[in-house]
Amino acid sequence: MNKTDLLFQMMEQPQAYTEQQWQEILSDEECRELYTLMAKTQSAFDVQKEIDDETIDDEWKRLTAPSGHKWLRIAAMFVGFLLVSGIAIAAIYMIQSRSVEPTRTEAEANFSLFTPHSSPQEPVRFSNASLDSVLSVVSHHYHHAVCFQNDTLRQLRFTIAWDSIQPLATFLESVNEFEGLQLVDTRDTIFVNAEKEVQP
Amino acid sequence: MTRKQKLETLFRQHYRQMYRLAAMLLHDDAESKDIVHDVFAQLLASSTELHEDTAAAFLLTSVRNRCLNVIRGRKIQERVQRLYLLDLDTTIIPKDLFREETKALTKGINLLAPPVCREVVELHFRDGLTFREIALRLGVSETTVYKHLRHALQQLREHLKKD
Repeated sequence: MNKTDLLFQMMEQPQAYTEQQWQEILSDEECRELYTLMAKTQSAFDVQKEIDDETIDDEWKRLTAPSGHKWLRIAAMFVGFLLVSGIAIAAIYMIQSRSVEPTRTEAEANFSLFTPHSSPQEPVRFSNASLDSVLSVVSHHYHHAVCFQNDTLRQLRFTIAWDSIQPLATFLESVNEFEGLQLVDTRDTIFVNAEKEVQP
Repeated sequence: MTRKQKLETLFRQHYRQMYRLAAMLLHDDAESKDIVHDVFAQLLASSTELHEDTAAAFLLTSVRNRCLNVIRGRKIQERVQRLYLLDLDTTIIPKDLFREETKALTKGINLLAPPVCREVVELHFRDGLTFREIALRLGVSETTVYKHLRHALQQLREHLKKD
């Protein structure tokens, strides 16, 4: 593969590559020039977007709304706080809520993602949950991103316990015991790789 | 005219230009609106007086600086994912050159040949499709999409040199 194809491939999944890999490819003059041209091409499309008078009216109202603006900010901060500090609990709560009133499809499939637990200190048990949903909860807890080698891996189903007090490495080790699967923690990202072709 | 009325006049007068600059740097509608919003929110909360002849430059510089703060706050992977320019931290962008270059690129995109090159560019940059999605849509491999994209970018580069 030539270097420009590699650049395009890397741009498709930037998070799958380390900062060093990015610095290396972008230190190549041709690749950097190509990347810059792509950024400018994107700008050429962005600048074509028309802003009508109604949008400007709405934006001025948003700016000068006496109390709504403040409340929106507070609401946004509150939501942000929930997302950052309580994402795992929120996700568990939402999924538990869903399991109380399961959709028809879920009922027919006869599985629930979580077994309810009474205390946040107790391990969370994922029951026949997709790897995608498991890792979305776990990665948020440890403030990590997730990168799958391919989409098939997202659909792998697991029944596994997770103790949120334990370090991430402990959880990854337990998942890695499944044959053919390799989860690696690199630079705040969990990379999910298949050692061989796996079936969902 | 009250101070708030003066600011409203400036807001309506310069909004489009400010938004466009933010959109060109951040490539995101909501973030661009927030940038313009924050510039004026700060003006409303402060006692800064803007003079008519320097207002445009002040507002655009404020937008640019806020965009740079956003860009600097992100990791390289996020910058690439959002297709941010990489040299902004050290390069001063002459306003007119940026505008001229964008115009030239728009013209160049319309001249791309064969049509599949233009299609790939439009699907990716205008419609936001990934290379894999474009490959699926066109019924070709991703490598072929890369080839068309590379060809298109070569044409755009040549067009910029000539223009």
